[in-house]
Amino acid sequence: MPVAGRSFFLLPLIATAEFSLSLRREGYSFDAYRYVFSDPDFVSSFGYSALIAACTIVVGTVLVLPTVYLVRLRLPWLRPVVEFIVLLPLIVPPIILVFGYLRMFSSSSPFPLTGTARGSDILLICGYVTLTLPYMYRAIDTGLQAIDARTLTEAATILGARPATILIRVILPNILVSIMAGAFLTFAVVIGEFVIASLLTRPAFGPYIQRVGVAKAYEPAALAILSFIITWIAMGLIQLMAHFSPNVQRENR
Amino acid sequence: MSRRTDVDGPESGLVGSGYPRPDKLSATLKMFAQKQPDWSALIGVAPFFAFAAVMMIAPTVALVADAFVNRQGQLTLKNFVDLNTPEVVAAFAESIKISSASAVLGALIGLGLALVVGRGVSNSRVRSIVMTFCGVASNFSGVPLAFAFIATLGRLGLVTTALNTIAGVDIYDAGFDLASFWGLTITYLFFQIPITITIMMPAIDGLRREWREAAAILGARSWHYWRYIGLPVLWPSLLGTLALLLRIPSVPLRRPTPSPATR
Repeated sequence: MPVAGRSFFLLPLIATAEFSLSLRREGYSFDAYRYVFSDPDFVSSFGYSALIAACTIVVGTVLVLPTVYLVRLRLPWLRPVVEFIVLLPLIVPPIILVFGYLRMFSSSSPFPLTGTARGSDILLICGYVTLTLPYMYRAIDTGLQAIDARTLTEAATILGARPATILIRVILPNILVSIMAGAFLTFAVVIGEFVIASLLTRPAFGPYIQRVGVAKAYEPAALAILSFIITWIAMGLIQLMAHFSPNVQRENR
Repeated sequence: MSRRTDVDGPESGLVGSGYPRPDKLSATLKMFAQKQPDWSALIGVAPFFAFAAVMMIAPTVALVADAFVNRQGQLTLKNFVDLNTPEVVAAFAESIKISSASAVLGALIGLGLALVVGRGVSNSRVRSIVMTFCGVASNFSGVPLAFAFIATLGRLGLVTTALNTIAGVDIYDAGFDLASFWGLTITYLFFQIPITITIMMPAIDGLRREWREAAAILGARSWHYWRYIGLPVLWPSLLGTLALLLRIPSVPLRRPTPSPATR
């Protein structure tokens, strides 16, 4: 079973890699990759998606961190409600979400966000924040669980810090590792997302892969390998971050 | 700050364990009884709830409401009746078939592999590589996944041509097609199995060796152990995984496009 399992998961990757290298008739070459990297659309769409991912991470953190912190320390009765809301994106598919946006924020509505490029960007970021909420929440919640947020808060309060100061200068640096883990996962999700970006007609990386996939033969295989590598890097960084988390350090002591 | 209650408890898992325990519940009731909400904290969580209401709940509710209204704004079920065309019904039936087949197979194979890895692999480095790979593979979907399988099992894919040259078997002549039911199911399994492994692993780690030993001392065979101890313990997580797997492939556009299959 392990051998069959291994070949089932490795063969598609090997086949894709082999195909992406065989653009030239006479032998293997990196030409497909060269074409991909020299395509200005690749650079611009990847840059756009990376920027949107960064905005998503910042907005997600600003929304989730104070909520998790306050619910943990001062509003424990709200916890079931928050946990339920955070699970909603796993239940509601992105396509429902984006059709809802198109209906609520169309150019004839009071908030015509879909009418302008900037407005669509905002909707895209909001959609991605929603989509990645479960990951962000879980990461930050785990991080806050690992540190003694209550004692830290009490110590900072005794020293005269105000709640906002405590959150930014005491709690945030302590759980930065967990936030990073959530951030890399968010990045991987946003880079590959297709449905929302395509229906909001934004020049993101997911629709770009789709377009190339329809029009070219070898470049899509190269893009598939590249997106696989990007996801590996994101996951590897999460593992690395988990290695440095305060939880592990405490165990080692 | 002095009024707040203690919430140090067992941590919640992914699904549904966030409900207060009885001792916490009494603390909750006390909060209500005091009728003195923690206003500053409530203002702090307000942005989160505002975002959830405007960006998650309102669009969904608006869309659901739309489904029951006609152009004149009257309540109607006609929109659903109109869906009763051969194409829509066939598309739904096909999606449900593929989704259930890949979910059930994914859960069973994933459980088997998770058991092999969870109980057989003690090397923590190998395990971490397997788990990282599962994390990557469960995110590997959409167009890249479609191309990976076209390059493997497409008409001129690596495995197809290899089988043809080595064994002289043309799987396409034998009736296989990547865009068919089995082709799509196999493609979906590429992320269904890793998702199962990721979710089931903590539950499998929770199977204590003592239980097995105790069962063995009492004369239970391996079959008895799984029938009466192992499976009942894993059952809730397995059902939860199955529910999650059933939903995932119903997302559109994860279907490989068969057109660029030529090489």
